[in-house]
Amino acid sequence: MKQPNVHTPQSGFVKFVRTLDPMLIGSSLALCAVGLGAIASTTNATAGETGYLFRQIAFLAVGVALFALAARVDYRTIRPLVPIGFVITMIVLVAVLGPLGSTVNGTRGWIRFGGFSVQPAEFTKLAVISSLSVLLSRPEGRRFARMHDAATDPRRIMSALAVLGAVMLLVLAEGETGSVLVYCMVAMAIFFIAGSPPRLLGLLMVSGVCAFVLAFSGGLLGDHVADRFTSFLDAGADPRGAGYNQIQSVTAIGSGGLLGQGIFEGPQTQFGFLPEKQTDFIFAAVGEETGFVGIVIVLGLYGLLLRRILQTARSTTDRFGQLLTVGVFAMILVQVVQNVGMTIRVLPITGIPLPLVSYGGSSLLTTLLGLGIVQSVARHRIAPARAVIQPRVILDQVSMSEEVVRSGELAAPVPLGIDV
Amino acid sequence: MTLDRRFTVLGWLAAGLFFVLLGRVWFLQVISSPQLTEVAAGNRTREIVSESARGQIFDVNGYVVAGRRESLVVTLDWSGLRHLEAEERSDLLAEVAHEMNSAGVKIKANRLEAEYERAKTRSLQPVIVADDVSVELWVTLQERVFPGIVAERRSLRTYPYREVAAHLIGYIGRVQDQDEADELNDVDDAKPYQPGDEIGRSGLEAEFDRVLRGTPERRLVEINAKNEVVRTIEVLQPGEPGSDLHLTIDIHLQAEAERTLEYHLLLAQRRPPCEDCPDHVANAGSIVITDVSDGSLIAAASYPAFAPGDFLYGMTQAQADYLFQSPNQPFVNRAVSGLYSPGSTFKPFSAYGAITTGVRAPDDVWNDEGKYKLVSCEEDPGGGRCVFQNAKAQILGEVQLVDAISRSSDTYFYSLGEELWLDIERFGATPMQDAAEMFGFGSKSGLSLSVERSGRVPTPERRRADHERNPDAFPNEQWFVGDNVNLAIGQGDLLVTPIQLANAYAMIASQGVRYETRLVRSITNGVSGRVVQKFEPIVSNTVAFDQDTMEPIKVGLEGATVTGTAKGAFAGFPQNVGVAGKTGTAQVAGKADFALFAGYGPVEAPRYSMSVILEQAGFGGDAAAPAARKLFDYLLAGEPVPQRQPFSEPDPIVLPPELDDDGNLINEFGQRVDALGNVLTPEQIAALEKAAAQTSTAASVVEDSAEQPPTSP
Repeated sequence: MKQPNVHTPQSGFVKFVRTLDPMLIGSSLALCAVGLGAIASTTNATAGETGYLFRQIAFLAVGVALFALAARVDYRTIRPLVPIGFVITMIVLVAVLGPLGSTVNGTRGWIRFGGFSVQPAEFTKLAVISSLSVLLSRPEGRRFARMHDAATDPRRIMSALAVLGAVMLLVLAEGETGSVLVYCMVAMAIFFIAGSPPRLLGLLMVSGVCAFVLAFSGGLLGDHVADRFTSFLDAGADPRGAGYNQIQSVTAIGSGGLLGQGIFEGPQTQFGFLPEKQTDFIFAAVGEETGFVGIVIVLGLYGLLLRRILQTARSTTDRFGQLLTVGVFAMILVQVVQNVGMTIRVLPITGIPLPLVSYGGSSLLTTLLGLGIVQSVARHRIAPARAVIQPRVILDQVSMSEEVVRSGELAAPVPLGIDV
Repeated sequence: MTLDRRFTVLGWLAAGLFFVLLGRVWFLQVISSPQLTEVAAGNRTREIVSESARGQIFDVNGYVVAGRRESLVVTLDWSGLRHLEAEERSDLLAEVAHEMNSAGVKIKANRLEAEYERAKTRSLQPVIVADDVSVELWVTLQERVFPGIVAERRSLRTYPYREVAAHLIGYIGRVQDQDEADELNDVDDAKPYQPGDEIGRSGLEAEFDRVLRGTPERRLVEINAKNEVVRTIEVLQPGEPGSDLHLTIDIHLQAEAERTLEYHLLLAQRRPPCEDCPDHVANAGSIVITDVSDGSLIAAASYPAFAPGDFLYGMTQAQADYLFQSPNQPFVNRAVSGLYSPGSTFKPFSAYGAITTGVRAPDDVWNDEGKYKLVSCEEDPGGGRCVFQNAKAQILGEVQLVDAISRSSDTYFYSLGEELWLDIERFGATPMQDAAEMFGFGSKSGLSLSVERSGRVPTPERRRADHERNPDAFPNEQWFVGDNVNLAIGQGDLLVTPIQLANAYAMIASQGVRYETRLVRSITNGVSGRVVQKFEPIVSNTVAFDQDTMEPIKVGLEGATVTGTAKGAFAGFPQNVGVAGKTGTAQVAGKADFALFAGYGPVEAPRYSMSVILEQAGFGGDAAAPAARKLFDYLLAGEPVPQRQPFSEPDPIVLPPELDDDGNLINEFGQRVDALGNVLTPEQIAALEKAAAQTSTAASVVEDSAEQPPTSP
């Protein structure tokens, strides 16, 4: 990485851009572009119905701005704000259950204002990630010997579980089973990387499975969830009912073949056999129109993105930033796996969108904001808040973290944009 | 586990998940792709089978008697509604019903729901829920786009002459469900039935359904998930209208035959019955007119009738009850499946059978004393009665075969019946039955209507066979002399159909040639009009008559309308043409007599043969002969046949003149009139009164059979 010349007249913007990670941003924007193309195809944009497409472009613009803002700000400065953010999130979640919320597709997780509907459960994901990251790490400047303690400190673990449980209960009450699953998995990833005791992970796993089974057995959440699950187990039982969506989606993907039917040409997509085609089942539309090749490219892009996020987390020496990054990694991974899994009928249907690709502002903004945080971590992870102590910090951390030394990452740092 | 290890685990976990996803996608897109592509193709294509226009039916002069017209109909397509939630569907159907009602179509939402439920079990074809809707409603439905509800043009059946010839033409219904369609369809049927398709249910509509039915158009179309047709991929089979039928029926004469039948039934209801006789119910009857020269059916009236159109456009409960539950059986085509005792109209045939055996020469004189006592009564009391009487106990004096026919001497025939039976060694057991069968009784006429019945010509052998087969229904095993006596005057177990009667008289008229009755002349292509099939006259039997016997019979028949039993009815009929005929009065236990007339004309060169049967209407000469006379007026005397306008209401039947206290017919001015409403001259009145006086003195004991007395000498 070329050292910026302080004497060269450079605007702050260019300087900022030069610190960004091209791999992270490239794969993200490529996926957004895939999403726009798929939305154009599924919503009949060629026939002049550009409403969805333009709205998504607008969301994307806002999302990119959010990303830039988050990347620009040092993630560490938000640490003190996390508790406040969490409280606000909880208030909103409670409010959604009241008269403020409205019901879409059997879930009561929407707030309408103006022409937009917002799903607070999407943004809640970031609140959960940041809260857990705060609880399971300690601010810089404390004694290093205690850094690992946060993950094993029973009080902190109990607080983290309380935060998670409260959010999950509220989101479950709204009927967002899918999101609950994401929280559970995200929490497990964070606990895992934070080095929490395996018993805790086992407990989380068990409670997650319990919540899942309870949710899908229908007792808690009403019939639409239970229907989806039974139809997943035996789609042929009611091909015109709940199993219809998955049958149509598998049919769409299968008829895509190796090279696809061509963009704007997939009959399953274009003639409306594919349900929820611009949101939950957009992956099937991509599969039908671009075939196996297209799917390999899309999954490849996700692979690149996730690998990059994981690399960032791995090479981050700050525990708070590391956990934040792992949280975003898990959030995207779980959503991709769950969404693609239901589309190809290896997992039951949940209303989880495909990150960056599915139509929908809440999900897109949340994901881009999360990626912005990851970028911020990447930009600031080695650079300390105060540049003066930078070498010392690195040395301290290296001396503390023998793994980093052994893996040779310090010697050959991952080529991320580093603002030194 | 170290932090680094944990990251490695997390990374491999993610990679593993991605490999599972990719593997599954590989399976779907590469391995299962062909099958799934096929599924997708079936998903979005649908074969639409649409009925083509049904063929038309024309009368002999080219008038349309069963036509078609375009109509705007509203259809309900189950597959267009099935994706909706039950509640959503109810709301939608309620809204559709509301729209239809505000456009003047009376329909309830639950009727639509019921149609939806019914359509579910049918097939993917839309069902018609309302027809003849307004253009406004059509536009509304086009604009509002309710899924599964479409207004479209359809070709519908029309019957321009309403109930005229209803029994012959029949009616159409719709194929109920897939089961019925499967039953109807052959393996590779060019015109497979779909549930909801039009199908003939009776008459020619049923007999020639495969001919009339159009070749359905089969199109492969691409549809979207809302079941809307996106485009036509391929026309698998072009549609073609059905073929047309050309009948031998003259629809205007048919209409007049039906009106005449109804008129004379109403008239008979007014006529007071004889003392202690059952009322003249006169609620059913039949008239058949055939062409002597080729067996064509010109008219075949059956009363009561029904309107075939009622089945197309729905009927009221009262209508349905009448049609399906009335003991009068309006559905029965009495002309071909009504079974009647022919009474004296059978005498020409029993005479031919008997006289040709040599039992009695045609010019042998028989002294008619008004009653006949069986010679064999002492030896053979099994038959029950010993004494058989003429109708009204009239005494005809010395009669030969000619008079026995024209004046209808029963005792002449009683004695023939007994004499034949007394010497079966010489005359054979069944000479009269053999003659009856030769004239076509006991077998079908060949008419293309499967409801036709063959009647019954009783023989000793058949009676025994019947008894052995079912002793409860046929307690009589033996044939008695009384049976022969009854058979000679057309009573007893003998049963004939009106069409058999007309055909038998036609055979007399045509010097022994009997044709199969022809109802359809030809089938023509519905588009080009090219003749597809022609039905030529078919001779079913040719007999060289024994002219020594047949001549006096014919002379007797000719005399019947001039000096005999039908003289009154045929008074004033042009002498130069002349009608030969025979009245009949058949007895049915517990009911008023059935009035019959059968005959042909003109005498010199016969063209038309006719049979008239009025159930429970009294004497043949009183009730049936005037009806025949009216129709012969049209056929032979040059009276113009009224032309009914298609789709017009028939003129109401003007009720016949009233009866005054003395039982005479009077018109509204108190003048004496005949049955046709013609004012009688003083001379005619005097003659009628004289005849009435004679009859009343002659009538002493009336307990049996036959004929009206001759009017004045």
